[in-house]
Amino acid sequence: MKGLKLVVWESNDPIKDYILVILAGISAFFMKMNLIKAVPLILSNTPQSWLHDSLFIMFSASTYIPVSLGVSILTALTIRGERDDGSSYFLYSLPVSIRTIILSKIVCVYMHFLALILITHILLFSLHFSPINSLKVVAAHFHVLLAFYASILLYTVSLSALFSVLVPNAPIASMLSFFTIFVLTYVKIFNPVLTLQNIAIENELKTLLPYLVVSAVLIPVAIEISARRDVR
Amino acid sequence: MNAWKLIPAVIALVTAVSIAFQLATDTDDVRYPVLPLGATEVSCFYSPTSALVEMSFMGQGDGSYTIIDLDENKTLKEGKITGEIIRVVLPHPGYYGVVINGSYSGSATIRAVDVGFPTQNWRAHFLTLSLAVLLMSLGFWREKDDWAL
Repeated sequence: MKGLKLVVWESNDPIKDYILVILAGISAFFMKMNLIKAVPLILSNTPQSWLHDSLFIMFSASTYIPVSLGVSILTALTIRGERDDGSSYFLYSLPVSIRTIILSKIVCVYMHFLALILITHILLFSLHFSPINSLKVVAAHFHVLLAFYASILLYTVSLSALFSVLVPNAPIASMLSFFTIFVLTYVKIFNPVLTLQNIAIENELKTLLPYLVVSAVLIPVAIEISARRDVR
Repeated sequence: MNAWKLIPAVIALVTAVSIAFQLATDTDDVRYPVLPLGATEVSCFYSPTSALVEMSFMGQGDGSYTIIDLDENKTLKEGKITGEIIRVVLPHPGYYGVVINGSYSGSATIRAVDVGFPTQNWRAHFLTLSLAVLLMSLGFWREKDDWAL
């Protein structure tokens, strides 16, 4: 319960909320552009609606870049923030273990981004198409969307958490983790656009496994390293 | 900023971006693919906005066409292929299909004459935006001491 209180307390920081709102605007911009500029042509033998295709077209590389940049900056600010401005003694003298504090910081950033990106994606989709049909499509494919965003964001948050624990400065940590995430998109299994295409076409959730494995390793490592470091 | 203000702020911003881009969409932004006809039963294409389009058929053989709205399962227009240009209104953003009956084979080119904001989505946009702004103002009102976001 103390950890949950910390999550709520972390989420009351106004600067994080400004970053989140700006990021929602930027990702909405790119998602809407993808919907307007898309030119799909489908040849089929049976007349059927292809609205679910558009649901997966919306996420592209131009959406992933601002999202990963925002995740990097926000995770670095959350984990490094108090250490950078010198107020970390107040936080780390609470009657809660350091591991719980770091975990609640990571959970806070993760939950915020998951809610933000899901709201942006589903709202834009249902506003663009006729609301009744699109909500049916969203209801049918919500589990795929949730699984995809949950694992992608867990991966980016865990990478940037590791960097912000290792590097003693918030801006440098955020830039380093952003460039690492960006370079890793050239590896096929860590490219979320290809992953989403795989999921949308072949309906295989197995392609999300590498992201989950990486984050399952990196989050405990980040927590363990931060617990052994000097809190200053 | 708590969830009372953050989520309505995000919803309001996303809706505003959606309205702005839908209003700014021009006929030059809308592109349609060249539809191959006769090879399959249905050729589907996607319209990013509601539009008035001109469709012209190029090919050989006889037959009739049916233009269908795949999202709402409605027939928009049907007739015999005579080589004239057909004008169709695509009422909402979404997927449409062309079905050919007969021995006709060739292709169809589609050109947007005019684009507009779909009526149903206009209402949905303004309803969402006003609800989000109302919730956001409730969030500000509840928090009496701190007027900062």
